[in-house]
Amino acid sequence: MKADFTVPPGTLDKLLGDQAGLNEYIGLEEHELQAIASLAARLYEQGRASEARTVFHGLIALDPSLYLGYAALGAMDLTEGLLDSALRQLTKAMELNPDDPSVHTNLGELLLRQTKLTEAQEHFHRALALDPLSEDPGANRARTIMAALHIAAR
Amino acid sequence: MSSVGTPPGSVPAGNFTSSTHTNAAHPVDGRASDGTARIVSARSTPTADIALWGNYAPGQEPASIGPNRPLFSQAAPHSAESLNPLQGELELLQQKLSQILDSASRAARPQATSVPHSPQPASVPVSPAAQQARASTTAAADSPYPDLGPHPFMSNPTGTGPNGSFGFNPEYFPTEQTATKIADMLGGKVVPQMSILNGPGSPFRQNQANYMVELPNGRTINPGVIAQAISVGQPRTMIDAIIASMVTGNEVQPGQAPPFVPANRPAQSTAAPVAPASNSTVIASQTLSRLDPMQRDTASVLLNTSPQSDPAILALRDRLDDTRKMLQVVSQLTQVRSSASDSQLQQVRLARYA
Repeated sequence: MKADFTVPPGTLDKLLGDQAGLNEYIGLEEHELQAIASLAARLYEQGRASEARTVFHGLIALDPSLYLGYAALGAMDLTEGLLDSALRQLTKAMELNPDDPSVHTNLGELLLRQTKLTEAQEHFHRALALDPLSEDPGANRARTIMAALHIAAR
Repeated sequence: MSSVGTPPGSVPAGNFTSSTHTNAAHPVDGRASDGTARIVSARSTPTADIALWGNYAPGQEPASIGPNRPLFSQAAPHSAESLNPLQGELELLQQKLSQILDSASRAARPQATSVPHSPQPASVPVSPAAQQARASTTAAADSPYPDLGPHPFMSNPTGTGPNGSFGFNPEYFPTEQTATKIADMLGGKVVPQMSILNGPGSPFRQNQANYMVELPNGRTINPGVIAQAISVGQPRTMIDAIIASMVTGNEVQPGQAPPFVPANRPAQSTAAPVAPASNSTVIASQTLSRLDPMQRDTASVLLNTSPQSDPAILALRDRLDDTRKMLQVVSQLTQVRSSASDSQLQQVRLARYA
């Protein structure tokens, strides 16, 4: 947590106007918020989706300017077939951080399911461009999908 | 770019040369002799599902495109172990949020007893014993607290926002007379302020000022919390703890504050005035005290009779609840992880000395 932390003036106004999160009062550091996101991602990988969702919703409540909560909820909605909600969450995540390959891959996959193939391909290409060394799992997923599309098209 | 932009079952117009044959099952080539793109047969254009899963039977998806898709990419994943030292603080945060939300829920419920219809303090519900104490406390000749009368708060403080007006918790809007009595008790002075909604350019504003009290030590407090405790007859240990907390800015538990002696005694008392409580007897709780602004601000808008009147207030309540639930999960996990780490360390130590 931040040391010598003071609540900025006008915080309640910002909260009511949806321009700030509760972290303005609490003062968690950015690396601590990201650690919470990592913890929730491990929950998801272990199949504890409900707990993961709870944590990601809380992250958004704490800091709505952090894209991680939106990105994760969008990916989970996509897995569960909730395409409208997934599109909203992933679009918001991309607005907050346009440089995450996994967000682009998930958006591409969603658009593929909606048969918006040109838009899907744009996002896949963007994911690949963000990961030229093929190290990112999200971008590699895009590579696999595009390879599958190529195979299916033969 | 051909087949990727072709919706299944249709043939696009444009510079494409179709090699579709009615009975063709597979495309012949990807390029026409003139260089224009040759589309594949519309019948063989993959649907999204086939593109994703291939021609596998259900349950036989290729392992490379499984259900566990990455949620996000992190250049340097942050270890959840870094949260272990925060476990205690996260738990306190969660408890504080529960306190705020529980108080809001209690205030929203209809009053079913003969308890006076005034907002309850966030920390202690009024018991019949406390009401008894009220009668004896305010009537006692040696009471250090002033008599605040039957209506110490504004009757209907309101705010205005983009969706219209909304109510405030009157506890945060003592009358000027009440503020003056509390200021007198603490040796301070009354200063009217817009202390709750004051962001420049904000669409939210409060329609009445808060009569705040500026203390001799330089702190400015809202005397409403103290006034509320006095007017509903909280036990003296509770009132003294609230006074000590507000004067010093550090959380003081009931029973831990020294007996309060007013700067200016009420008329019936003959004791000499003394300075307000000093820091030397205060038990500080840094984590809880840093949440006081949040508790104060959120309680001021949540603890009113019609929270449903403003979507922004409802959204704030939801945000508090989401954060509380998150902290509950995270603090439980960090507790488990801390215990596991301690246990592993213990085993390593035992092995070393075996």
